[in-house]
Amino acid sequence: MSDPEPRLAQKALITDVVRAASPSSSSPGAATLPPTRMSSLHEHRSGQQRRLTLTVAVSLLVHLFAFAAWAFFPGDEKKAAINLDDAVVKARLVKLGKPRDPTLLPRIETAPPPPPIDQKGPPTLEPPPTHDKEKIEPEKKSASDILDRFKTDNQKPRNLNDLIKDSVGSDDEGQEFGDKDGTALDGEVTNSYFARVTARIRKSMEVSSVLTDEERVRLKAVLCLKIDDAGEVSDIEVKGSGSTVFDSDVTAAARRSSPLPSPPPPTRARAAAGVCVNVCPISCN
Amino acid sequence: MVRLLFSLGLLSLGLLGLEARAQGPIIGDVEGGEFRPFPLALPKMRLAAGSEGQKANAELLIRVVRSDLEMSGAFQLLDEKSFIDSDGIAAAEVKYADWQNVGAQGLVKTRLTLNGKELSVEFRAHEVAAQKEVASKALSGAVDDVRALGHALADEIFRTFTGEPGAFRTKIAVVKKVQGEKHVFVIDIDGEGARQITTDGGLNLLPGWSPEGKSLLYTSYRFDNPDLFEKSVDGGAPRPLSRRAGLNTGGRVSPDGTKIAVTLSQDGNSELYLLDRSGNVVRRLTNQWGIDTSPSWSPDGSQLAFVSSRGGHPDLYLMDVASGNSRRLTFKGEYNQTPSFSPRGTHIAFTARDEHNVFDIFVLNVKTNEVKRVTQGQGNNEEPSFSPNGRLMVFTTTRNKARQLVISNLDGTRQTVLASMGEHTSPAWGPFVR
Repeated sequence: MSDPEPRLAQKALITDVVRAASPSSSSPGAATLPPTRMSSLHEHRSGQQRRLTLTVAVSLLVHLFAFAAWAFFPGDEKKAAINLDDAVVKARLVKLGKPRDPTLLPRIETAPPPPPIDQKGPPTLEPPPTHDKEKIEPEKKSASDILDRFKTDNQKPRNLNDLIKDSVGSDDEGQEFGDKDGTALDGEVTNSYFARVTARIRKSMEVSSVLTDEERVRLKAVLCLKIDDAGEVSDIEVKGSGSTVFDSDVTAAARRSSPLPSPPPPTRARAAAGVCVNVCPISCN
Repeated sequence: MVRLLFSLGLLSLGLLGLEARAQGPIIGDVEGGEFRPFPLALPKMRLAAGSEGQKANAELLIRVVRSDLEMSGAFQLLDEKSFIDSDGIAAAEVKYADWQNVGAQGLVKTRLTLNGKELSVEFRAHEVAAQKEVASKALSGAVDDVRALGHALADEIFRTFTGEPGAFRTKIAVVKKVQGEKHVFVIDIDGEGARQITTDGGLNLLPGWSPEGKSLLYTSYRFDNPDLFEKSVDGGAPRPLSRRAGLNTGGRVSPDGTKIAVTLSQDGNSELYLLDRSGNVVRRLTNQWGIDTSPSWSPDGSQLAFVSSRGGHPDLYLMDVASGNSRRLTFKGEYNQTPSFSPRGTHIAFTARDEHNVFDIFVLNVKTNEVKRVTQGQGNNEEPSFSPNGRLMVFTTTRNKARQLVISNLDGTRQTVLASMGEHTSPAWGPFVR
């Protein structure tokens, strides 16, 4: 519990200050302060005002500097604690099989052959003919056969990959941990929305064969595009590589790649504002 | 103080505004892409006043040029049925929008004039997107050799759009089977214009060009031994270069024309030797227990690619000619042979037998040793030889049973089988025409 005495004294002092500051509101009979105390109060008030002004000025200055620093030096966005762009993962299904013997010559990857055409005739309603000679007689089993079968059936469950591998030809090429329905001989993983955008443009990119070897190494264009919420490319700008042929290739690739994947909400503003990619015939390094 | 703060605030906001107007951030690199042929419109050749009777020659010229440019793999010749083609040939008369509508990136307009016994072709090349004329030139040729004029025109168009010389006027030396004998022939790159170089000897093999393209080295059994001869492509008697006991094969003249790399087996084992142009031995290059053969010069003449079985089976090796030091190039496959150095010095094309016992063409990057396959599932493909501009290769194939020639680009995406009759072996692509 605090002592009530000082509070009352403070309240009285504030009342006095208000009265002193508003002589018109002073009523007859009100107590007037002595001159020494009045001057002390004035000094106290002006000191408070100075401190307040200084505090506001320093605060404003610090905020402005912080704001300017943020504007000029935005910093590395990759250092953000959570990168919301990394929400999307795209992967190709790697084919299950044996990795290719590194001592063999390379092969050109081709599409798997179509499944064999079913040579059976159309289904009929008639039941299939039965032949008495082909009737399967129930096999007579000894007690030891039954015991062996029991042991086999109750073995420890095998690895799922091994079970899948049993259904795939041993000569198939792929990767040890691939999928039996996989089509790619090698894995490729890209992440983030903008990585997908880059990958889509790369897929649409066709470079004119007329470029010389020197141009194929040297040329570099900057493709800037704006992407709306539906993924449509709304604006294409190519900052020249120095070759009108390659610039045309880049513009055509950007057009072909539209519509791009729809940007996820965290990236929409950035996609709509415009993003750029370096485009090179072979390598940008 | 207040004024200062206000000014600072304005400055910050102004710079923020500038930042907002700048281009977007770079989000990544797009590297590579499918190389695709350059879409080119080559409309009908115009006939100058007084040359209206040259319609057949004009059509033949366009056919030759189309065939050459398509075979190069660098151009996609657009279907002329889609052309409006109602404009002139100069920039001021060309309706670029019409050509853009048919998907053309390049446009070549031509006009033919008959001057006595000469045909003259004026051609103008345009970049459609840039809407500008990029080249104009006049070429002329004999009226009785329209195909040669067509190849020259194709060379000019190729040079205009790629900046590199075309190889359409060059020749290919090849061994053809003729009535039970094998003879060296020289043909145009479209298989036309075959000319027999050797006429006797019964068995003439492995031709190789001199750097100036005026003579051929080849191995002949005319004296019942595989001896090395040189003969001018314009005729004359063959000149014996090496008639040593055993093999005298695979003679290849160095790029500076002063030396010949050859395989000799005079000591009982096939080894590589350097000869001078008269056939005298300058230096023995290899001394191994295995077979060393099939030399191919690098364009600067400092290195030789060759085949050696010193590692247990035939593989490609690369030798520094000055020091004689060699390093192995191929480590995949068990039968790698017939190397051909690219004129750019960056790649070596060769034949290799794969695990299915099929011979196919592969290209090796000399710097990285990376091997890429060019042919697959198209019969046996062997003996590659590079065009002098390094953009194409010629090799033999059995895909249509008879051994024919194929002109292919380096990744094998554009392959043209030459419709020349008979069995062909050992093609050697000649140098540029000077």
